[in-house]
Formats: sequence, structure tokens, C-alpha cells
Amino acid sequence: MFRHGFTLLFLLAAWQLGAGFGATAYYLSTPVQVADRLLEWSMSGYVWPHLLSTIECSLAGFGVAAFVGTLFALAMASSPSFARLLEPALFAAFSTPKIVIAPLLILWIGVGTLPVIALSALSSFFVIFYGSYGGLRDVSGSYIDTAAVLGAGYWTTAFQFRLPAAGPYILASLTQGLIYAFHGAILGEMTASDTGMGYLIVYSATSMDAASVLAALAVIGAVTFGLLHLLASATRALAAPLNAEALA
Amino acid sequence: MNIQASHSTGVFDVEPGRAPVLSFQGVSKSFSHENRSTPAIETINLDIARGEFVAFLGPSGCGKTTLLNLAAGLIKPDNGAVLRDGEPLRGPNTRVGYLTQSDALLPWRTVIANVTLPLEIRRIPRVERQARAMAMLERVGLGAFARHLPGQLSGGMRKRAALARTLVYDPKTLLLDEPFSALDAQARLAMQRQLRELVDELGLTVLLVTHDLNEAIALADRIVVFSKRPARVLEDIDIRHDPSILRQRRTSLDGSLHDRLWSLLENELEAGALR
Repeated sequence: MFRHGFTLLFLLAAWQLGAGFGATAYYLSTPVQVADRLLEWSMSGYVWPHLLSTIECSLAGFGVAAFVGTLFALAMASSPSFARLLEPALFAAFSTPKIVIAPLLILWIGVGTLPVIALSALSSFFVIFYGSYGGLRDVSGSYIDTAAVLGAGYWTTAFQFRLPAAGPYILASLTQGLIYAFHGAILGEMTASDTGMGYLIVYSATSMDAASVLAALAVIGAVTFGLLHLLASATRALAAPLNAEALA
Repeated sequence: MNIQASHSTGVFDVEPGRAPVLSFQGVSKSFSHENRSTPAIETINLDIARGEFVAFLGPSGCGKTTLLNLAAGLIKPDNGAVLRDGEPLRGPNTRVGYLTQSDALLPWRTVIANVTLPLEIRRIPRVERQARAMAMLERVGLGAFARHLPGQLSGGMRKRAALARTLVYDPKTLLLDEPFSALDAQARLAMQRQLRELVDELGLTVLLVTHDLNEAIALADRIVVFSKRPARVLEDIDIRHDPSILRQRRTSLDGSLHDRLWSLLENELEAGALR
């Protein structure tokens, strides 16, 4: 941790010194200017509504994606014929870059928070779906056979056997999915909204304000970093009972 | 007869003593892998009567497990039929308890939550299922470990927990697939004794798959010896046992039986090695 801090400090110092030469300050800004901007934003309260909007939209998008994604994955893993029916369509949708859907979303549902949530959900859906689907499909046959002999029906097998058996895979895909939801929301804000961190970046860039763009990026980086740490510890806590198996 | 029927306690007692509990009638099964079909078992005809303890003995990988999977209704025969109480089996056979080679305890559930699971599936009220699961755990000597996770138990304890989960819903037939092969010699002996006691006490019909002929002799009333893959019945030996001679039998009484079974298996192993 100490070493990371030192590296960061070194890079910031190099940036500060390097940006002093020529006209680069205009494009690059300097760490001091960026810090100044961050301080100004937090003092005036300018940045909070934007950050809050981004977080709200990402959480909403993530919630939708997590629910629909794991449900689809579970249904498809439980029923091969359902999987054969949906797999081609899902794969086609997966291979489309999500950002190209943004104009279409604006056309359908206008600008504001709704297209942002939709893009956030779309971005994280596929990560969650594919990650969970692999784990759910490859659950050991002995669990499924046990379920059958114990008399478990379709739903009991899905929810009491398959879902918990694939728990670690699902948790890992949800972790990734949350990051994608956050980034999807920012992309949505850059194209279809007048609030949020994504909007802030576009607005600053068009006003030739490099310091603000970099300050917004710093905020986004810090939030992503915090999310990852939060999720890593949540995943560890949730997976602890399963690790008892490995320890024995 | 009518009175008897109205007093029957479970769904399991369909016409007691009439039809065989399980009947394999000309059953064949092949498995295809990469467009090549390998026969696992070939025209098996076997009747298992109520209350019998039958050991399926044969070289490893000869298709004995396939027979249990057929009896459990997990797979369908290519030819012939598997009858349960005289009726063709359709779908999973939920009247049997099936203890597979891997115990398949759910690692995210405590031992008692594993044992209550089949009762949850049968929608038995919480209080009753807790009581029944606890009683069954006490019976297999795991009462003190009810709140442990399976990962915290030894191999022998896991087997007993799995046995408790299998017996808790009162199946009248048990399918056991080399249940003790992974245990050390001492744990195996203890488990064998406990199994035989439970089976006699509960009046169970048992199909035990094993490649250990001592285990077959020690436990079973009847030993069916199978050939190497594809499995055919080589011998069907009735050794109807009396529990009191269990100890004797293990030592000297059945020396000749032991030799006979061994020579049968030996032939199969050599035939397999030459292929």
C-alpha cells in the first residue's frame, strides 16, 4: 500500500513538472489544477448531483441486469431446448457494441435517466448472463441426479441445487457486471443525458476545459476502485461457507 | 387385504410381496461417444424381491453403475424395460434411496439442512422434518455434527450423513453404488455393520454395487456376478444369510464361495486385459 502511494506520488510529480513545458498545460492541465478543480467542485457542491445520478442509474441498471441475467442463465442452463432457442439471438446481441444502440434508445425513450439506465443494464447484462450461464450449465451432474432421485421438480432443482452450486461463478460475474453497469451509465450520459459524470466530461471537453475532464475521470476512477474493493470483500464474505469445503 | 391396504403407511407399499420390487426385463443400454456406440449392458434379466439384499459384483467399469442408474430412473434402457412394483418405470424413481459413489452432499447446507432437504421437497412441515432428520442423524451417530458443514466432516462421516439423507424419507429400496470404496478399512467395516443393522431394522430391499467380493459376501443374501463390459449375468448365487453367522462367514465359512467368486472375477479380468 505504501509503495503504491509512492508510485502514484512519483507519477503525479512527473506530470506536474512535464506539463509545465510549452503549451501542453492547455491540453494536459496539471495535477495541481485538477486537485484545485476537485476541491472547488466538492466545496460548491457542483459535482454531487452528477455523481449521485450516475451511481443511481448504474445501480438501477445493475439491478435489472442482475435479475434478468441470472434468471435467463438459470432457465437456459436448466433447459437445453430453451437454450437452443435463445442462444443465437443472444450471441448476435452480445456481439453488437452497446454504444451503437444509444441513438436508438434516444429515439424510443427520449433523453434523461431512462436511456442511461437502459444502456447501463444492457452493458452489464451480457457479462452477468454469460458468466453465470457457464457456471450454471456445468454444475456437476451428481447434484442434478441427486435432485432427481430425491424427487425435486424443475424449480426446486433450479433454485436449491443448480443456483447455489454455481454460486461462486455467479458472484464473480455480478462483480464484473457492476463495473460494466457503472461504465454503461457513463456512456449513456455522454450521449443521452444532461446530468451525470458522463455528461460532465462531454460538457467540459466541449468547453475546452481539460482540468474538469481529468477531475471527472479521477472521480470515476475513485468510485470504480472503491466499488471493486467493496465487491471483493462482499464476495469473500458470501463465499466463505463454500470455502470450508476446500479447506477440509 | 382391504384392511391391510388402508393401514399401509406410505405410498411405497403397493401390493406387498406380489410383484418384484425391481425387475430388469431384457434390458440393454449403450452409450455413444463421438459417433461410436459402446454397449454397457446386454439383455439383463433380473428380479429383485422385496426384502432381498443383492450384491452386484463385477470388474470395475463393467456397467454395474448403469444398472443402478436404470433402477433409479435416471436413464432409459435402449431395449427392454425396468419395472418397479410391476409397473414400467417412467422418469426418476423417487421410491428408492440412491447413494451414489460421490456422496453429493450440498456443501452450502449444514449436515441437518442436507438431511431435511428430501423432506422439504415432499412438503413436510418444518417441525416434523427437523425432528425426523435429527432422529436419523442420531441413528447414524452424527447427532453432534448436525450444524457442521459437509466440508468439515471426514469421509466416513460424510457417507453416514449421505446415508441419513437417503433414509430420512423412508424409501423401501436402497441403491448403493460402491458406497464404501473410498473409506479406510476400519471405517468401511464400521459402516458395513451399521448398514446391515439399519437394513434389517427397517426391512429394506438393497441393491449394492461393489467390486469387493468380501463386501459382497459379508453383506448380501444374493450375489449376482457380472462379466466385463458389456455386462452380462455370469452367476446368480443365493447365500441367504442369517445375521448371527455374519462374523463367521467373514472368516472361514465361505472360503469355498470366496474362491469360486474370485476365479469368476479373475477370468473376467484376464479377458479384459487381453482385449
